[in-house]
Order: sequence, then C-alpha cells, then structure tokens
Amino acid sequence: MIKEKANDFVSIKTKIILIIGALVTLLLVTISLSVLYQWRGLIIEKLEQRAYSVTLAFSVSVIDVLIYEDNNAFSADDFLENYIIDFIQKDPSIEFITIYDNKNRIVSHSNPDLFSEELSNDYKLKLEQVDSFTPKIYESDDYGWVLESFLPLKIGGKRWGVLRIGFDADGTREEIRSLFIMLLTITVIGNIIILMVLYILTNQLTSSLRKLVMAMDTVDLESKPHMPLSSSNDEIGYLIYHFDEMQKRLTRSQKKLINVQSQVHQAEKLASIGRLVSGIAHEINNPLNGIKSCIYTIKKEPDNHDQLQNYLDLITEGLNHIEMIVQKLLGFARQPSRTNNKDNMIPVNVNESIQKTLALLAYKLDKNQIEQSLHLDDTIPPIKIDQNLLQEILMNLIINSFDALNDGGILTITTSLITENEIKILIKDNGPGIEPENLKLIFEPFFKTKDVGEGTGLGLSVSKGIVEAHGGTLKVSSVLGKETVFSVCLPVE
Amino acid sequence: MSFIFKKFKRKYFLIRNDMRKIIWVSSFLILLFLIGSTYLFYRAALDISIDREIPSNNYNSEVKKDVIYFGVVSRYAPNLIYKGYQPIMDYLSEVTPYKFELKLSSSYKETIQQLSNNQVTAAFLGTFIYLDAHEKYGITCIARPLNKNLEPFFHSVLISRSDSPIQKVKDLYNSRLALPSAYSFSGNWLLKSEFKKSGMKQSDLDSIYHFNYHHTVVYQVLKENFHAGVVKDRVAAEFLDHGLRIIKKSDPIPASPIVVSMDANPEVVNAIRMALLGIDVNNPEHAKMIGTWDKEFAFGFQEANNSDYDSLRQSIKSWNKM
Repeated sequence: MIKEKANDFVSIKTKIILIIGALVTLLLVTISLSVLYQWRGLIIEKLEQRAYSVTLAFSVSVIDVLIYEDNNAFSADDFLENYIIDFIQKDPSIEFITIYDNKNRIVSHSNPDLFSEELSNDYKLKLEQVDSFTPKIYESDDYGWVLESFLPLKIGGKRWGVLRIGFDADGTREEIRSLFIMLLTITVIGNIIILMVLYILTNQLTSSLRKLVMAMDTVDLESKPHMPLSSSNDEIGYLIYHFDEMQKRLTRSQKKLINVQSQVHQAEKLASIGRLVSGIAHEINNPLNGIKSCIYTIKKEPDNHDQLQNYLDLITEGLNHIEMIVQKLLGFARQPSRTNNKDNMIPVNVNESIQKTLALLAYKLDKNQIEQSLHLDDTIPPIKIDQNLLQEILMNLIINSFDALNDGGILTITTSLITENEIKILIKDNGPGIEPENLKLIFEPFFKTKDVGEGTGLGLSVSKGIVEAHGGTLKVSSVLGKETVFSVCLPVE
Repeated sequence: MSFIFKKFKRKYFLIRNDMRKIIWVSSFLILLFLIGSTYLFYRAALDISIDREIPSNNYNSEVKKDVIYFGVVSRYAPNLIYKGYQPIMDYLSEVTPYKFELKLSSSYKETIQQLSNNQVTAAFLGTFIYLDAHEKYGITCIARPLNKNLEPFFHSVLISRSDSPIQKVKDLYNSRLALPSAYSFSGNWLLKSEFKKSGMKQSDLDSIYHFNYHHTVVYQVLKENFHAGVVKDRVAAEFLDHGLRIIKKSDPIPASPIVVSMDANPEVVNAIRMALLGIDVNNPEHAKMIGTWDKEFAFGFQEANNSDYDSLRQSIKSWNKM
C-alpha cells in the first residue's frame, strides 16, 4: 500500500464523493423540496377549490330558500335543516354546516346542539366582514384538522347572511404526508444510488492511480525493467502509457550517464596517475641527478677517500629521500588498511595530541614568528583512533598552515564537541588563502603549490584518506588574502 | 477543570491533525443536520393552517334608507332572477335616496296583485299583461328597455330545431307546441294572430303547453319534447348557434315596461325614472354595469307612456275580430 504523505492526506475519492455527493444531495433535496411545496400547494388548493365549489353549490339552494322565505313563499326552517342533513349524508367529508343571518344568528346548523351557540364579538365581526369565499384551515378539538369555508349568502348588494361549512382536512394532511414520505424515499434512494455509482467510479479511477503511484515508488532504473502496468482507454491509460515511455527514456539516459561517468572517472584516473607520475618523477629526479653526479665524480677520482666518503653520504641522503617518497607513496596506497588494525584503536585525548604535535613543531613555529592561538574544549571526550595516525593528520595540517604563514601570522586551533558522538578540530591560519580553482584539487595526491622539491603533495591527500577511513570528514574553506580553515570532524567511537 | 481543559485541548489537536476524523465528524454532523432539517420540513409541510385576513366590510353599518320593493315575476330560478335584477336594485339604491329590494312573485297576476295592494311600488311587467293591468288597476308604465338596435321593441318568434321539417306555420299540423306564460304576448301571438292568418285552429295541434320561462320553451324544443315554440327574439338569438331556427317573426312589439302602482309616491317614481333614463350605454362605466344586469336591460331604457302601447292594443283588438 502507498503510505500517505501526511496526516492531512485526503484521497481524491473522498474529495469527489464528498463534494459531488454534497452537491447531488443538495440538488436532490432542493428538487424534492420544490416538488413537495409545489404539490403541497396544489393539494391544499384542490381542497380549497373543492370547498369553494361545494360551498358555492350549496349556497345556491340556501339562497333560493331564503329568497322564497323573503317572499313569504314558505318558511326556511322547513327546508334548510333537511337540505343540510341531506347534503352532509351525501358528502362524508363535510363535518358541519352552519347558516348565519345578517344579525349573526344561527339560522340553521347541522348540529342541533349548537343552535343556541353564543358567538364571540370577534367572531361576529368576522362574519360581518366576510365578503367573498374565505377559507380557514386549523386543528379543531372536535373535528381534527378542518377547512372552514365562509361564503356570504348574497347576490349583488343583497345579503342574507353567511354560509359556513367545515370540511375534513385530515385527508389532505395524509396526502401531503404520503407525498413527503414518497419524495424522501426517492431522495434517499436516489442519493444512495448516485453515491454508490460515484464510489465505484472513483474507486476505479483511484485504484488505477494508486497502481501507478506504486509503480513509480518501485522504479529503480539500475534494476531490470519493470513489468508494464495494465492500461485502460481513458486519461489514466494515457498517463500509464506516458509513464512507461518516461521510464524507458530515463533508463536510456541512466545507461548513457553511467557510460559518461565511467569515461570521466577513467579520465580523472589517468589525470591523477599523470600527476602522480609527474610528482614522483620530480621528487625522484632531483636526488637521482645528485646521485648520478656523485657517481660521476667518484668515477673520476675513485681514490679520493675523503671525497668518496662525502659523496657516498650524499648518495645515501639522496637514496633516503627516494626511500621516504616511496614509503609515503606506499602509505598512501595502503591507508585504508591501516584502520583495520583494531589493536591500535585506543581512546586518545585529542587536545593532548594537538599539544604534542605543536611541541614537535615549536622550534619551527617560533623561528618563523608564528603565534599560536589555542581554544581547546576540555569537555570533549577521548576518541577511538590510532594515535600515530591522528598525529600524522595534525602534523600534515599544521605544516600546511605553517607553510602558508611563511612570513609570520596566527595559527588558531580550536576543538569542540558537535554532538555526543562527534568532535570537531578547526585549524585556521591567516595566510594568503587558497585560489578557488585550487580548492577543488587540494586533496588530490601529489597536488601541491610549493616549489619542486618542497613537500610531496601527498600530506593532505593522506590525511583525508585517514579521516574518511575513520568515518569522519575533512573539509577546507578559504578566503583569499584572509584565511584558510581546515575542519576535521571525527566520530568519538 | 484545568485537567479537563488540557484533555479537551489535546483531543482537539489530535482531531485537527487528522483530516479523516474531521471528515467523519463533519459527515456525522451533516447527517444530524439533515435529519433535523427533514423533521422540521416534515412539520412545516404538515402544518396546513390558513387564516387569511378578511377585508373590513361591515354590512350592518350601512346607512338606513326607506325600503322600496320592486316586483318581478320569477321567470327563472330565484337566484338567477336575483343575479339579473339585484344589480338594478343596487344601482337604484345607489343613485336614489331609497333602498330597493326585489319582491318575487310566481306569476304576472301575483305581481299585479302586489302592485294594487301596494306591497310593491314598482315592478317589471310583461307587455301583454300591462295592458290589462293598466286598464284594471291604473298601473302606469314609466320606462321600457331598448333592444340591441336601441329601439324600445321586441319580437316574438316561432322556433323549431334546425333539423326539423317544420318550415312554416302550416307545417305545425299535429305538432306539439311549447309556449311561455298565457299572460304574455308570446304566449298568445301565434295562436291568436298567425294561426288565424294561416287558417289554422288550436285543435289542429297535437298539444299545447305553457311554461313559466322563455328559456324553458327553447330547451323543450331543443330536447325534441316539442316540435315548435314561441319565445322573445332576444332569447331565441342566444340559441341560434345551438341548433335552433326561427320560422316566423312578429311585428315589433313595445318592450315590457317598468311600471309603478297607482298610489306610488311621485318622488319615488320620479327617482326611479330619472335613474333608469340616466343610464348611458355609451358611457363605459354604465355599459360595464348594465352588462351584469338581466339581458333584457342590456341596452338601457327609454321613457314609456301608456300611449306607446296603443298600437299593441289595436293589434289585440284585430285578433279578436279575426
């Protein structure tokens, strides 16, 4: 599995499902609510329309009866009660019918118990104000939800009273409830289906992406070619195809790079051998010339014992110099193996080693008026190293600084503890500094800026080899005309 | 307290650092919100209560006026009569210092009775019955309605179905005839005038029946319960596009008058006359108003005098001589 980059990792799948899911939910809810309130309005309107039609139709008969009564044709009482009873029997949705006269008295009521019902002043006022069909829907203690329709019994300016009919509205609420449940069900099921489809699609999408990422994660250009990913005929397919192509290009580039690196390495090696040979040739050539000259002189006067002895000493000195060069060269060649000698690895006090090395060089330093500035940290622990090798490193670096301070100057040595397991030694001189182009070559064997015959060019190279063999680092920094600093970091263990 | 706060703070930061937890918590909160919203919408949807404001209109606070009763024969169902005639009462109540109310009667005879008993001050009367009422009870005409040509006349017409074989009066042999009131001109014209002109007798018919309303006559003919009938031209015109045909048309007859009783208060009579004659059909407001009145009065009124009906009297006399 791909390891998520951070705690706040949110997959594309989650994002798509959350965002599109939220939008789809919002859309479905909006549509459902619109439909609900549209249909709800229509259902209520249908109830009102029905109430209006029924009330209007019934009012015609009532008005006829009241007109006949006005004209003394007959008494309304004879007819209205029968009309009301008959009407209610025909339409079970009618809860009650009441007829009021212009003085708000009940002329007739479907419930005889309410003939003498006393109306409140507000209600009377409302009855007087009814000028057209006026519905009112409310929840009644007696009838449950009821639509009460008021219709003035009037034609033109002639008004006989008000007709009030109560219709059952529970059925309407039941219709709305059914509609609500239906729309809710559709919304929820629709939402679930859409989210499931979305989940499946995004899963397919992200699984392809995950496979691709896993393939990218395991890419190793140096190993054998990867197995091609299964492709699809969409954007992911294109991505996989282009990833494969890119990997092929990278593999080709890698091969080219290795070839070039090999060539460069070979060239550097040849250059290094060239410098080595050149250095050896210079170093050996001088004593050889001296030896050759001595032998020539001895051959000329073989019986001159004083001269012979003198020249033999010179030959011996020359051969010793050549031997020293050869030994240093051998030391350079053998330096990694030196560290394998575990017996020599003992805890060494770095500060003491520095003091000893300076003591060995005290005469030279004083002679050249080089001031020493020591900042040795007493708290640094002893480090495990071959003491002789450490002194060789210190000697090489101090001599390098000494050479730089030919006309006097300040040699500053600082020790410090970097971490619990690492110490640092800084050897700084305020000499002329090193040219930037020489800084890159300073640790190369036989690279030197001194005159031929002075030094071997192997000191810094050997020192770097020893430090690195002990798991440390040797670095140099220099500011031209100001200072040069060698920094040695060594592990405690 | 501090411990609880630290615990909460630690938990809060743990949650904040974990997006997945945030998503789950958010999803749960959204779900709770949706459930809560659904419940609220459910409650709101089921609350169907309505209580609309009723505009203030107090009928019991109207100014009290003397009530003048206006008689009208209930030629249609009472509420239809009121629809056609109550607006006239409303208009008269509005433009005169009196409140006018309709008094229905079942027949012309009853209306005349009401006029003579002063139960009603004025009445809408048929032309034919007016002649008799004037003679017997001194009832006077004050105005008469105009037809669509703005003439104070109407015609009685003999009608049949469009597909009926009856083309002329003589084709009525052995047919069933529907007529309006026997006290109306239309109820007498065919039998007393046209039959005699055509040499026919009442007995040549299969049957005759008088209905209270002109519209009833039309419906009976269209339903083929009767072969032919006689109605006012205005009523017949309403059904010409519905399978009715006019076979014969009478001479112009003076329109049915608005009459007052002999003892009517002259001020009231004058108020009624002035109000009716003041209607101008060219005035859009008046035209709109009389558009809601009975179609008989859709074109306004003209002043009526008893002498305007002399021609009809002559015609009736001539029928008797035939």
